[in-house]
Amino acid sequence: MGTSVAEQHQTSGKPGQLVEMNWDPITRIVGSLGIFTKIDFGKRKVAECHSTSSIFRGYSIFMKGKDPRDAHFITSRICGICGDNHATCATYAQNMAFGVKPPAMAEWIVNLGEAAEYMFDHNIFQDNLVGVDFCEQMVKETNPGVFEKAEKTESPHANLHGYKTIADIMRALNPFTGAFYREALQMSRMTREMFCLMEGRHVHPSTLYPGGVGTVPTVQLFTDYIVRLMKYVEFMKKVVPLHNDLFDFFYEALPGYEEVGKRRILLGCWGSFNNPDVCDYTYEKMTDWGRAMYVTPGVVVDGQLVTTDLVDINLNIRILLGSSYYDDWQSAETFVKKDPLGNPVDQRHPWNQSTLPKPQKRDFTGKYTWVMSPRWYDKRTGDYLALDTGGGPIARFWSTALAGIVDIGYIKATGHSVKIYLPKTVSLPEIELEWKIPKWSNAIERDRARTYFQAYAAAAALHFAEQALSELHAGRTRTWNDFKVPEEAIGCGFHEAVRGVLSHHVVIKNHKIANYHPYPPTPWNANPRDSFGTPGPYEDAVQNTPIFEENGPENFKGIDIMRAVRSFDPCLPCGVHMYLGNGKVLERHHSQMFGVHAPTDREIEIVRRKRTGE
Amino acid sequence: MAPMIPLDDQLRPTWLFGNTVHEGCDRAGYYEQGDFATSYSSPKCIVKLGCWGPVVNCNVPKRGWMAGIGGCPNVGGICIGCTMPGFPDKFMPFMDEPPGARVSSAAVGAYGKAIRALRSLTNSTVNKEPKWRHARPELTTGYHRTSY
Repeated sequence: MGTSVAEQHQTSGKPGQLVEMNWDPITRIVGSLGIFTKIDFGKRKVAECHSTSSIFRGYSIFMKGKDPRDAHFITSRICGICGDNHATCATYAQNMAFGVKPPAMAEWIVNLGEAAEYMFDHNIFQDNLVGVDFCEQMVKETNPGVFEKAEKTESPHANLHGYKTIADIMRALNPFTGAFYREALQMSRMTREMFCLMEGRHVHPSTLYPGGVGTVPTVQLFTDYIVRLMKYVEFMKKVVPLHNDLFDFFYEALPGYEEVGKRRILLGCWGSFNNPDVCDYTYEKMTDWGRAMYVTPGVVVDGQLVTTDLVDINLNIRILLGSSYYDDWQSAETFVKKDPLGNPVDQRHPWNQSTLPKPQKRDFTGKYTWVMSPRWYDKRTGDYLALDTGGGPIARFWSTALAGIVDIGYIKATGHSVKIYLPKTVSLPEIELEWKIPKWSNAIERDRARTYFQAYAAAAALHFAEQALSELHAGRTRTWNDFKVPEEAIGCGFHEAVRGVLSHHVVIKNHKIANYHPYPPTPWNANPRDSFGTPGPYEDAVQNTPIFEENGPENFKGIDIMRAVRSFDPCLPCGVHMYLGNGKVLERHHSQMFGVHAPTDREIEIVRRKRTGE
Repeated sequence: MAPMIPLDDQLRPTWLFGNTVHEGCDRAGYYEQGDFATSYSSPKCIVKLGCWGPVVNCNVPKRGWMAGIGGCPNVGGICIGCTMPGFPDKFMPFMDEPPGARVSSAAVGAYGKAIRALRSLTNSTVNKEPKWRHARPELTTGYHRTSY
């Protein structure tokens, strides 16, 4: 994190103290994320925010000319925590392009795997990474007054989770030493085992193919999965009330905290978990099978569900430039003029995008990042909406709740909420949880939704396991259907990566990939100001975030900003460069994780001497 | 500092890279019997469907992916050689039979067919109890009563 006191800026008349604060990099997966802000300590809020990424990987370029059957193996390697989401989405696009429908058993196996992924990833991110922003050590350092209050506040649901006061919850979240932190780590290991049972290995599945899976379905396989699933279900009965108590406390202890990370309600969800009874992977029927998904796809604008139609969603995706290091492709090849239903496809659609990178020096008033600006064209108003995923869960819930379609016993969407029924487990009775549509799209609600989605995934998995077993008992154990790669084809896959919307668009010519554009949630969330000047979601959520932290510029941690950015789940936070004023770059790993102290200068010197053999 | 663990000529730990995938694969027995899968759904050897196991240094099939669970070809996922310096270029397209496999699977095919037939004979023999074990009144176990 770097600080430098900038000159007086005329932001709003007050000669405020505008300080430049940068966190770069924040994440270490899916490129590097740098958040550059200008903070007004006088008005105690973030005046300006730019979101940048300084790594270019070029999947859209090197996939050209490759065998289309290899797409899911290759794109899996886009990400080291959600690679399976990519592999799955790629197989959806391949199935469409090749014209193949996997057997029902394969669909249930994939659904069980993806459910395990959500259970794994949300658990480890929420309770081993986001949780650190709310732990005792962090809260003591940033808002000591709040911690004192936490010591005196009893947890409303202590009878369910066992932590008597909010401070006890915060202590349990301390990295490496906290009891809950450690328990969550153990659970995340178990959920990865569940994934490995279904897809061979995590994070890059080995048993996934276009046309189905190679996993051998047996009673033992599903029993091993269910045994672990029931342990997770029991865990969730404690985890959901624990987080509700923690988050509700923050609203109470810091009035106005709903403004942290708040932005206009513009959410996108591309749907997850296909229903094999309805899904045949054809574009022509995509509207129907999209709606039959067990997480309903949808676009929510200002609290209203604008569409649940994947064809509609598909056609209105636009990739804008403006602040990104690329040349435009308006005059480049048009790969797809019309979709299979005869609708015209825009040149700014991923099917027609040509990626023409143009590396250059970063300039915050011009081009400053490798991320492009995906937007969704709203036919009603002509606006290019900067949709966000809120980290994934909040958008999934909001869309599913409003659509009111999902109803599988364990989960019911009511139109204003989503009810989740978790059955009796080894030492706890059955329980009903309800995620209600919140008033704001802000940091706290994104985090809250994440915990609830862990329970949603567990509940969905219970249903999928039952379906898989009934297929098994009926003798329908085939898991793969054959196909031929056509000479020319197009395909698109829509899925929810852990962090939100994920689409893969492929164009095949001469049996080879002619164009391939994956759009994970990160570009939707982390993008810069587009050519119309609309800022990206991280940027406008962090801008106008008020500062509640009690520290001044000297020991500023930026915890409120970090909570806002991390609520979007920009993958795992790690080391950071500290930039001190006069151009001196000090490499000091300022980890937001306490418990393991940062090396002292003496320790650094000892290691240096050892390495140079002194 | 502790002594270095054994490394191979490419400075990779031998406990991870010392053996090939094939040497640790649960399905290797199918290969030896020339019994090859023709569909990705099958539980048999998947070398003809794109598995590079015989020539890839990796111990995942032996130890599973974690806690003995999962892996690659041992659970139905073709080995794509992802631990190797030649990955991915020398292994693509992944779902095509590796060139060498065509030769070796043909060679083992003939032997395998014969051996499976012979083994099936022996297998049906050892699936029956010895001839003296029956419910007929006469004793054919070789026991002779000598008390009277």
